[in-house]
Amino acid sequence: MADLNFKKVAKEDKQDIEQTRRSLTYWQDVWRRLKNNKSSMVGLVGVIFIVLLAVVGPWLTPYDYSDQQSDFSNLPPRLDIREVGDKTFYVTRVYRLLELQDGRVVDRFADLDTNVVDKINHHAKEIILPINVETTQTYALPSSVTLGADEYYSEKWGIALGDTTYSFGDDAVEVVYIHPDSPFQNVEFEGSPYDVNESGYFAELTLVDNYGEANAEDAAYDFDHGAENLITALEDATFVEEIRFYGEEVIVDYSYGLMNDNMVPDGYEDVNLTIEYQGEENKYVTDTIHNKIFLLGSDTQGRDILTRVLYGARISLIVALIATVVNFIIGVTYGAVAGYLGGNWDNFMMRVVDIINSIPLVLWVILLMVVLREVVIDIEIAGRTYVIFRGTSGLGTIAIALGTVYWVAMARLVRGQVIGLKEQEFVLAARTIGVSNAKIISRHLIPNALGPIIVSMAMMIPAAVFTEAFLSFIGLGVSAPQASLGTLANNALSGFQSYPYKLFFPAAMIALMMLAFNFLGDGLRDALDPRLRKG
Amino acid sequence: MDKKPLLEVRNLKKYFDKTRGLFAKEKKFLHAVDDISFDIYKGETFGLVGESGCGKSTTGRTIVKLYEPTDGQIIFDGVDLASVPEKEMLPYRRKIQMIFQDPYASLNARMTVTDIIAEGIVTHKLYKDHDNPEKAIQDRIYELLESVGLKKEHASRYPHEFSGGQRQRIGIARALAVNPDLIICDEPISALDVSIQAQVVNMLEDFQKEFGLTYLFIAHDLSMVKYISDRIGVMYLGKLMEVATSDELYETPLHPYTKALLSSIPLPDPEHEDKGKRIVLQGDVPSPINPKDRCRFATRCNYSKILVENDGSDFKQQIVGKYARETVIDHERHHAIVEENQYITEEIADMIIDFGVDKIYINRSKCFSEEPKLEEYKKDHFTACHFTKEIEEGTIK
Repeated sequence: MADLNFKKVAKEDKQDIEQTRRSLTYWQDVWRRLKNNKSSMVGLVGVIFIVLLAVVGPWLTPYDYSDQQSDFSNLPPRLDIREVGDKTFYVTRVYRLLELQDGRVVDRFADLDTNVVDKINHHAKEIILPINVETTQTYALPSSVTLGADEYYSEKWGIALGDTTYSFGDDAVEVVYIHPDSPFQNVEFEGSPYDVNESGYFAELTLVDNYGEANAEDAAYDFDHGAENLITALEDATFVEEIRFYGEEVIVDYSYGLMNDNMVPDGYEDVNLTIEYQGEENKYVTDTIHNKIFLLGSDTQGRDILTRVLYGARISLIVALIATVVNFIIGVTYGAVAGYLGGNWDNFMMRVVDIINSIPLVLWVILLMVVLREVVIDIEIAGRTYVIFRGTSGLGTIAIALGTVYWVAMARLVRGQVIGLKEQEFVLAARTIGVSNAKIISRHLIPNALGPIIVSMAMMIPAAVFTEAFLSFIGLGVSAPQASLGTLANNALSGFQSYPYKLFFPAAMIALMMLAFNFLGDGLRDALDPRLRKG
Repeated sequence: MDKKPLLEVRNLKKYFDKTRGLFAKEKKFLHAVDDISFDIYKGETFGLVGESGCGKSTTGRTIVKLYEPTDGQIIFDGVDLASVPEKEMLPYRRKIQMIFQDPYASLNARMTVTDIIAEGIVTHKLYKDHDNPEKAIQDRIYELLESVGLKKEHASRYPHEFSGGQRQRIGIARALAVNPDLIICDEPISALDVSIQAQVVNMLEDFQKEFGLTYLFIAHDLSMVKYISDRIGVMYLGKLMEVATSDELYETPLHPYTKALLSSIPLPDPEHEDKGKRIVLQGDVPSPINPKDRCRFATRCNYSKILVENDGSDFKQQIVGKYARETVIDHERHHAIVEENQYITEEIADMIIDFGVDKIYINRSKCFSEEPKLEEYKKDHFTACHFTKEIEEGTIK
């Protein structure tokens, strides 16, 4: 049985024990509530992740957003490869043949011309010529042979080369003539002896690193005309160790895809194209592998989509950030002043807001684009000139357009809050003390309206991202070579059916950003909701 | 108490423009405070009582110039604050402080107690000549907190961590921080528990003795006002009805409104409770928007009506040309023969007689046509009623 007898307590025990607990400030309380909200924490993590990606991401990829590699254009993130013999090939949609190893392109063959029926069979040759001779004689070009515009002849080696019609930026040339006494003559080409008149044959002559002792490498890398420079390089070379031709024959036959059904031979009914190499024939895609050079594929100009999406996210965030900061500074100041002054000032300032609010955004952006096109603002710091605004890039213009229009909603919100707050007794108390109007606004009114302001700003970021994407999408935004997510989506539209991945990744990025910011914004609204919290 | 007025309020008016719309034909003004005058002597407590909406708080707020007065003078220590432009108000703001009604709304939730109390000190740069101003301010805040019954540890807390009574103490500390001469207490205790009310009121009295403060104590709790005030002003619809010393007012109220108001105080003694002394006012408070030129209390005053009985010949002559005080309804035909405050024409008078009314209240014309002025009836006892003398002598009922 419990002790029911009361006892006298000592005097010091009667003193109230001061309840000491860590007191939460308003913001600690907000953070505590935000932490309890799962979806907003997901949003917060997402926002941090996206911001990190956008800030750091473009530096982590090996490409710049404007790097073009047009021979690797339109490569999807997953490659349908065909294995023949010991080689792995990938045929692009424009019938360019790429040789792959570990998901990386190691060799590139010529484009196939689908319009010329004669060229259906593509013969690419590689012959390694160990020409280990000091040439002592020269081989003059016979008078019966005339060279074309982009064809060059080396008397030292007795070989004439011509630029191929395509240019990859490095040396792709065509053997157009070989002198009967040339050392090259000893080489057995596949098929009949090399005949310059037979255009169905051609070989690619690739300079390898050790093709000559002379320092021809620099020349070779820096040319406009492959044949001319290669000839110069050959002339300078006193000793040729190895010249590499594509030798073994790879025959790509895509005639099956073009045939009528009744023409297709048995066993080739669903074959699109065949690749023949070393006597083996491949009819089907054998495997699908990751594209290791462009993780998310490449676009029409052979630019890395991953880099461009990350860069686009960065631009979208910059625009959103500028719009939000401008929005905060102008909107909060304007709204607070209008609400605090009240009366005719309030009336006048709010009518100005109404007028600004009635300007259609798209029209406003177009007008700004026209006006600001010529404007370039730069500043010079320590001898270096930094361009802070360039009208043609579109980025600054969009930021200005959003910044000048978006603050209107914020001004209205803050005005409403301030009108409600300014009759509160703590504001009257501050006025009684003699606190200046500017201080009342900055120390009393704005801090108490900060909850809705932050929520509104958090919601404004995805709205600004979306508007920027929309404007870029309809062609009013950021211009090439810079890319925002909207521009990327717009560019992807033209080849959407063939290359859906080009639209998918920018669109997914926009969606992710919107979701993350909206989740966070919702969580912030719940955490800061003034109706849940008083005093 | 020396007889030197610290604050002289002269013909103070505060009208609020309630005109709606740009093209309104007639401007509407809410006469919140309409031509009131009173003095507050140094070191005394002047109570201001009245029912809700009578303009007590507006008076207080206009005196500290939270509202710009429409007309009149607020002479504080010889300076007319009403004519001091806003920019030059700062030195006077230090001298007049205010304690607010709602302890939950009167403290900024985003500021610590230190920030709240220090705001006045910082604004008026009270310690700018001090060697270590920050330390001096901190010490002063601790001192203030202790004098209002809080602890040093409370300085770094936020208002939401305190109870209503503690918050009101912080509000008092804030007002005291700038060493004011006059404190306007705008119903400082009406939002508190009764037990806390007494503590706060006693604390205010202690400070008054200690610092020689002068209070303008606005309240609707009549017994608390009687307890704390030296003199009391009774307000009704923006007008002062009666001003007298506290005891005088409670013992011999002169104005009919004051009488009614005092009769509404519940007595804790059942013996004296409700011996038919309770005066119940009829009707509602009239609208304060564009009030008519008459005694504000006339519509509800028991003395502003005259009973006319139909005792024969001159009944008609007595009522024609007057205003009826009450509505006479013909219940059978469901229509009013005469409505309240309607002018009685000969025709209506005939109808009233035909209907068989044998007595009718009519308005006392002086009450309804002329505004009484606040006049000194006895020494230090002012009242605004045309018929004070007659009522006191019992000649009118």
